[in-house]
Formats: sequence, C-alpha cells, structure tokens
Amino acid sequence: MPDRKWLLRATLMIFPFLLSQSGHAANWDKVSMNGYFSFEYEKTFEGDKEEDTNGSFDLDLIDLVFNINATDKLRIATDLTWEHGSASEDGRGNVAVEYAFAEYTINNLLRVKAGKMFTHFGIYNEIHTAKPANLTIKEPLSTNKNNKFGSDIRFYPRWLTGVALTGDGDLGGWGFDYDLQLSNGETEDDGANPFEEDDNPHKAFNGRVRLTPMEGMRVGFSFYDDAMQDPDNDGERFELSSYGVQVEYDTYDSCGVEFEYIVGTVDMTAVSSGEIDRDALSLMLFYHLNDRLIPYIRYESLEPNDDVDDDEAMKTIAGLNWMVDQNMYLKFEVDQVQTRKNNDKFEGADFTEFKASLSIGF
Amino acid sequence: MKLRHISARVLLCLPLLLVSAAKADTFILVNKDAGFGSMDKEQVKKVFLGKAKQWDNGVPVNACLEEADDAALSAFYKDYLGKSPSAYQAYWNRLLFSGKGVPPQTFGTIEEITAFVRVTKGAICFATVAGNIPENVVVLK
Repeated sequence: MPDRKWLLRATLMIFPFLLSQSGHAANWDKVSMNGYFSFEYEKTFEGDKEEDTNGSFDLDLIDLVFNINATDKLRIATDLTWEHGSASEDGRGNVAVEYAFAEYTINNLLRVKAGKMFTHFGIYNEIHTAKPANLTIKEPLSTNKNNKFGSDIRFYPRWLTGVALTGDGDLGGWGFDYDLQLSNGETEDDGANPFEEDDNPHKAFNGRVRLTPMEGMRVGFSFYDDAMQDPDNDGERFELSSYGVQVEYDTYDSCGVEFEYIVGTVDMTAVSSGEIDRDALSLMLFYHLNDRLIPYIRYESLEPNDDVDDDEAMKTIAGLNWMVDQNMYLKFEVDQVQTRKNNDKFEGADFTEFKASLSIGF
Repeated sequence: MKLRHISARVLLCLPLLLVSAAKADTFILVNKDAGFGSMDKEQVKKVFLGKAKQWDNGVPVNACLEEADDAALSAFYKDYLGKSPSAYQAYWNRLLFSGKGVPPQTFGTIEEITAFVRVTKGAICFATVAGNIPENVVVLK
C-alpha cells in the first residue's frame, strides 16, 4: 500500500506533463487550467478546550482544476489538491483527487457523468475546499462535518465514485437544476477504498434539486441513502439516510442569507440497537457593505442523537470577507464553540478561536 | 430554453447598439452555426451564467468575453446578467471549482474575439467594436 500511495502522489505531481507526453499530444485549446490557494492562521484564545493555543499558520491547500473538452459534448474535469504542505517523504499533509469525472452532454436537461465526484447535497459540500467560493474560512461543522462536532458518522460522505445524471431547465418560469448519483457510497472499513470497490451489494443513491423562484433566490432539497457494512459485525449492515433543505438568497447589493437544515437516521437495528436520529442546522446572514467588504455572522447547531440528553454542539462565528483584489480575499473571524457535557467530541468544552485566511482563485 | 431557428440568409443584420459605453459600441457576436439571429436578455443570461450548454440545434455553446474597458463590461454584467463584476466572479467561482462548469473564455482584443467566433462552432461573445463589424460574424438584435 505505501508503494501505491507514493505512486499516486508522484503521478499527481507530474500530471500536467503526462498530458503533453501522451501518444495523442494534447491540444491545449481544449484544456483550461484554473485553481485556488488558501493560507490560514488560527489561535484559540479563550475557553476549556485547547484546540490550538500556540497560534498556527497553515498552508491549507493549493488545488489545480483542469477541464478538458475532449469533444464538443464530452468534458473531462478534475481537481487535484495538495494540502497542508504535502511532503510524502515525511508523511505530512495530503495529496488527493477531489474529483475526476467524464461528463457527456446529451442536451441542457440531461448530462451523464462517471467517475469520482463530490456528493451533491446541500450548499457547501462541493465548495468546501474552494475557499474563494465561500464567504467564511471554513464550512459549517454542524451540517457538513458533523463527525468532527459530536456525531459518530457524517450525514453523507464527502465524495462518491459512481455515475450521475445532471441538468438544468425551466419549469413554469422557475429555473431548476438537479443531480442524481448512484455510487459505492462510503465505508467504515479502513482497509477498503470506496473509490475503487463497494464493500456491500447495496448501492448509495442520492440527489438534489434546486429551484430558482426569483432573481437571487434558490431553494433546494437533498437526500442520501446507503447501507454500510459494520466492520465490528461481519456481514451486518446499518442504513444511513439523510434529508436536507437549503435556502440561498443574495442580490449582491444588500443582505443575504444561506440556510441549511438536515435530518438523518442511522438505522442500527440489524447490527445492535435501534436507530440514531439526528439533525443539524446552519444559518448565515451577511451584508454587502460595498463591492469588496462583506461582514457575516453564522449560527450552527447539531443534535447528534435525539435519545441522548446534553450532547448538543453549537457554534457562532462573526467575520469579515474583504476582496482585496480581483479573486483575492482576506477573511477575519472569531468562532465561538459551545458544547454540552455528553457531546462525544468536546465533552462540554466551550472555547473561542480567532482565524484569518488568504484565499485566491485563479 | 427554446432558441429561435432563423435561416442563415437572414441572420446578418444591421449592427444594433446593445449597451452604451463611453468609448465604443458593444455587441454580442455569434457564430453562424449557432443557428439563430436574435436572443432576449434571459437567454443571454443563461448562456453567460452556464445554464445553457447547447443550442437548440445541438451545437455546443462556446461563450467568451472581451476584456473590455471596465465601464462597458460592468454595464454588460449589470444589464444582462444582473450582477456586479465581483458577483459574477463569485458566481463562477462556485460553478468552476465544484466541477459544475467552465466560465466564458476571455480575450484581450477584438481581433482575437472575432477570430474565435469565426472558427468556433456555437461561439457567442460579448465584445466592444470601434468601427466596422467584422465579416462572417453575426451581430445579434
């Protein structure tokens, strides 16, 4: 396995050169390269939990995004990432394929995709690493990283490998777009790679539809369903299902809103004991002071298990997004976390962090 | 979205001022293979915001923008796309980095724009033109 990881990292490093050295030389008119860069600083300055009291700089990531128009109807897209100062010799950082898929356009209403993709759910999952595409420094923990906020398992996996249908259209004057994905899902088995094989016959099925009823507003509904193998109970599966609603409103000249609410169930009946019902929300308000300055506040809350008292986690952030130059953003934030005593991750700790970041899109 | 099919023989039309700019007239130029001669604002918006990837005749949409003077480009963004330049950038950041689409190409000169439109199937470009409209390029009403 270590040899395969080294090979993957080496391949990702020289990917642009491989393109030009292939048997069919690349036509660079068909290839576009973009990307984004993120550099961060954070320090915990108050509270019970010592997340980072030293204050740390972080070369968060640099991503290269390639789009190749192989034919008039066929696009290959990939996002390659190098995170936290990747240094494979020392086992530091991370090198990964965020997504790599082929997309064939049949018409505007129907495009077919195959490969590794972000899970199309909610507002933030597809843009959680693309820091220039987000007002805030990090995505909400409650709805998007609940396993780091007190839940045992996420509402849905970050990435999926499989096939998908997607498209855009109009319905009665409302614009809409949709995504449907059929995939291997995720796995709890550390030895299995869900981007290569499915560890059980049950395929994950998820989707999202977003409606644009008026200029600047978008409403969306998402669902995710999968059965996963429990590595501690051979042959037994538990079922993961989640449902989400989202509202986005932004006319780019005054107030704006981003709201997500997710409910989910982890059905452990076949494995051990009953169901775990959980839910989470994230609500952000922001205001365009002018074309460059956008202050924001966000409130998040997570209920990891309805049947367990005092396990909730809440987070409130207040920050400022400053577009210093075209597609170059400085962000400054104060994040306050409050948790209850039975929260699995923080065990009742409350703490406050200061964060700053530089995000650049290119 | 339905885009009108109009015979190529009636596509050429007199240049029409779409957006007034301080220094030059501005137009939307279209490759004849796109198969139509007029669009409304909503259709222009769908094209430049990545909602339309194909014309009705199956030809792929290839959108581009001239890196025009700030006033002209800002007016195009505002009048046709309903966005400021920074809002346009923010919109395409989300689409591009999530893998959902690729923004319109940009070119620095009208010569590059017209060369692109002439040879690229389904090309549609926003441009400023000082002087005569180039040949073999359709100017939309």
